[in-house]
Amino acid sequence: MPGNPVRLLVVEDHPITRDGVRTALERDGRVTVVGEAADAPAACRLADRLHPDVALVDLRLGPGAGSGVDVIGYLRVHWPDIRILVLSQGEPAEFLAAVRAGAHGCVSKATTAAELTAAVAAVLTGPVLPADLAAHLIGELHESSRPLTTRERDVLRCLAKGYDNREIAEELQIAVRTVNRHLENIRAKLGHHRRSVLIRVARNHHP
Amino acid sequence: MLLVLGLRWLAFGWMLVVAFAGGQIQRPVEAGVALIATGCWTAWLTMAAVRRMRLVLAADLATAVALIVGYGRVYPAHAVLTDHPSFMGAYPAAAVAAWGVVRGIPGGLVAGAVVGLSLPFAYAANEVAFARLSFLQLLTVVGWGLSYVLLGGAVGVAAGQLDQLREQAIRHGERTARLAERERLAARIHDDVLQNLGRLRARIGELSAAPALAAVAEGIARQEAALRGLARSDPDPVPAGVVSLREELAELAGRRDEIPVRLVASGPVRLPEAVAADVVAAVAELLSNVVKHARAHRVWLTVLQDRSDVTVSVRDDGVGFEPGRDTNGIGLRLSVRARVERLGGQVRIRSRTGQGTEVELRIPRGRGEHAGKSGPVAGRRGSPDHP
Repeated sequence: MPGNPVRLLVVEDHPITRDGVRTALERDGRVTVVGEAADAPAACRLADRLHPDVALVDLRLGPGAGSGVDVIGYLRVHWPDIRILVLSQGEPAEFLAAVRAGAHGCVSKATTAAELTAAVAAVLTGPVLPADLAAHLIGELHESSRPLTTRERDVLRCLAKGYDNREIAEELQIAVRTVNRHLENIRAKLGHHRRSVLIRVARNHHP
Repeated sequence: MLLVLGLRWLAFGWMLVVAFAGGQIQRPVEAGVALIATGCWTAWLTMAAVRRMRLVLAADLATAVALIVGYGRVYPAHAVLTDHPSFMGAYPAAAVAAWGVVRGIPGGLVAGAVVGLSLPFAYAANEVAFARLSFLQLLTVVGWGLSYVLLGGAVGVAAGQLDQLREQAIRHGERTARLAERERLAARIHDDVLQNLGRLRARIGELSAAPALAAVAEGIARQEAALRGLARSDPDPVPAGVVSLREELAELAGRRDEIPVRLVASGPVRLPEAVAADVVAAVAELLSNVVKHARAHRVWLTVLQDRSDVTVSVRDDGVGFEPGRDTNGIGLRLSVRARVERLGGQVRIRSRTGQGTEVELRIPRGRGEHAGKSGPVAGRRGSPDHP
């Protein structure tokens, strides 16, 4: 959407991280932060009032502030067209929980400003899975009854190597839209996957 | 041990019952001495804190043999050939069981054999000539002897399994304690240290986008990742001779501060030390190449573990080169190709002008896993488990 900046709601309990996110995203003008919330109830209120395009949600909101997963659940029910991007410490188990709750994408807190901007833009058109999660899924899900197709695994491989969607499309000689479709399938499989498998995956990572 | 003592008292009680109720005793004085001696020995074993186990076991076995032989002497001639109860049958079994408990299967078998072999002497003391025994009577003796051996072996097996169970329980308890401690540390790291590091990194990002500062920020990011890894690393000790490729490469990437290296791994990826060393050396050479030639802003280092192999890919966003140009520089040929091919793997290089370069090393896991499997076994046998 050139000329029409993405309207973003930031849900994050650390003020300094909020400031950092705002500074990083508003630098190139593609994104405007329309609201900032430090806890879950405030996030839901702001979403009702502002109706942003994208919500950037931190999963851990600190004691007494509710949980990011609750916010995701609320948004999924009340505002299904708000795209949800999760900002997390970068642990695959956390990402899995977020995707299961209905998030459309994840970015690690270890990303650069440019990567964060790219992720916010990309989550509008399709799921955003971070490289760490992609690598983790390749490592963990290859034994369990092969829930992923070969093509989906190829996409995950490319993600793990740091390719963006356009580069993946070029590499696999498919359309960017097809890449998004594969990602959507992977996301759906993670979301609806048998709980036991997810628990095992999470436990393997958090022994 | 308590169980064995209990059995011992039962056996002694049986001796008393048979001695007083069964009659038939030919030499009451010697029988009394045997009974009193056995009673004292059993009482001493119960009261004393046994320190010199070897001596006590030997004495116990001697008592058992003495009882067996004495049995022949105390009872009327040819009593061993009848199936009347004898007051000495059960006690030697307790001695054999004690050997099985303390010394395991071999101890039980040896003690059983010793007691079994003393049977002929009991026959001699009972004035039975071995040569005149019928075949069936011989078989009875052999069976009796063998039953002691079997008893010793069976007790040895059971004792070994009990020991294993107890060890497992202890290890499990230790592991649970370690996990709890780890959880506590992880919470501290997350709430405190990681937030501060993230803030530092954000500050640096706001200051400037110069590559040197980006590399510093990436260095901080790696410290964050290392701290996170610390909290979630495998709580079980890694067997000797096997290392985690992820940790080794993280260390390598940490030493490179000319260029930000982003390490992504599908897990710890365990490899035998020698294999991992070769892979790390190859990756080091590739990173040097990137720094020297690629003019890249960042490097992705990805380790993926699949069913059959481990794939390590080094990808940069540098100038790349025309495919078809001679890419076999001496470093690439010697340090990378030679190493990887020695491991039975393959190297694939892809590049286009302006599109960066990707080098993929594919190392078969079959060989690595085989060596890795022999490692843990040898390691566990060789070193005592954590005390």
